[in-house]
Amino acid sequence: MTAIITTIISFFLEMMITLYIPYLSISSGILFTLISTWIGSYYFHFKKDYYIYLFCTGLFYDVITNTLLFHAVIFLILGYGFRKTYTWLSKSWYSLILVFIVFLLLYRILSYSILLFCGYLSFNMTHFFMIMISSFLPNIIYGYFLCGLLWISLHRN
Amino acid sequence: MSKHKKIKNKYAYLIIVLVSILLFISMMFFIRDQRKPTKIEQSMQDLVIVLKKTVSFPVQFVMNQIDKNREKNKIYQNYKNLQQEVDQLQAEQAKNQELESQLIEMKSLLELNQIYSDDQMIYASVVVRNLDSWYQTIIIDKGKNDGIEEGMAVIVSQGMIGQVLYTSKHSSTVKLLTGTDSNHKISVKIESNGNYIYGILSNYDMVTKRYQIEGIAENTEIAPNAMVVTTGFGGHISPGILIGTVDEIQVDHFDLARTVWIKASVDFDHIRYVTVLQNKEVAE
Repeated sequence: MTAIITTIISFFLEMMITLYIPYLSISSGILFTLISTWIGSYYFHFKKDYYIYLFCTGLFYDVITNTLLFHAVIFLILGYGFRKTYTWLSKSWYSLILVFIVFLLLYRILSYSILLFCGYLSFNMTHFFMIMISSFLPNIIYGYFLCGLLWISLHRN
Repeated sequence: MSKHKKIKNKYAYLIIVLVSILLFISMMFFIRDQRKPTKIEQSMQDLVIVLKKTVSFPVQFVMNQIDKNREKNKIYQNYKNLQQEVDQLQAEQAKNQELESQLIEMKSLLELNQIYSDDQMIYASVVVRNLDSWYQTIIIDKGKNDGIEEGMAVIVSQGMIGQVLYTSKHSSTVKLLTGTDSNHKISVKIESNGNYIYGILSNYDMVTKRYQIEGIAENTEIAPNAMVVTTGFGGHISPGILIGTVDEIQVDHFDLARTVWIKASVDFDHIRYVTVLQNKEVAE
């Protein structure tokens, strides 16, 4: 339940913030919903529940962007990968930043490739790099913020 | 591992591959903008928009107050400057009358005066902008119930920003002119020395914030800073809506055609309130 609430809050936060941040600025590539789904994996004891949650979140995101199934599949793939990788790595703050960077990169490359392939976007290397770079700062900060909340809730219990 | 289990695993992989291919194909179909959202999707989108408006009300209130304060300071500064200019204004009044008559004449030439007088205008505020960075769309809080239809032009005070892509009862998705996909191209004309040169906006450079018009014939003369406006071809968009001004002209490698770079008249970073225009001719 906590994961779902966090995702809903992240989704609305993302919708609000994108209205006020100039496009292609250093922190414009906000992906709070995606980040919340990665952190959300710690709240799920059963893999199956987590994957259903990932798929539904992606589907919800698709409704707003009118890209049915696109985010549902990508969220599922990346969530699966994030869970596997972070379990495999040592659980430290440094490894978390590494995993965030790698998976944000993966997300951007994957989504850009598919949108290019479908003819939705035309190829522009500078544009791609600018969006990729603008994704790191706000999302990593938000990721750490969510991790901090998770850490507090775990230690309280 | 037993032979039976190996075969079972092989089938499992085969099914995964097949499902992935099917998903990919269906994704390709769904991603294309031409697909109209289903009733369920439209209702969900409306619900999310209503929720978002409720949730973001305090934030928007604070942001509006900050904007108001900023504006107040600006106005105060302007007021100080204006006081000094008031004396000069009387002398310039006569000159202004002359300029006004010239402006009316130019407007009639450019058909700009028709846009704001004849067309029906629907005011809306932006609720969601460019989620996920890739989609050059915004969602506005007015929909079918407010008279918005697909294809209508969306403008701000500086010029055109996009076209309504699809509508639901209480919200509409607007495709921005900054979108680089090939499905939405706007027909434009460049006003140069009393003549019009016609072209199609083919691209938008996010970095330099300029539109591109390709395939303009070499022998046509284009004045620097010439105004670029919509042609009105294709129905929904009124003619004469400002797009930008000519910034740079490049000749292609064979000296046959030119690429014209248009400096956008709109600042796409700060769009909060928009106006949807209904072309009177279409409405009739």
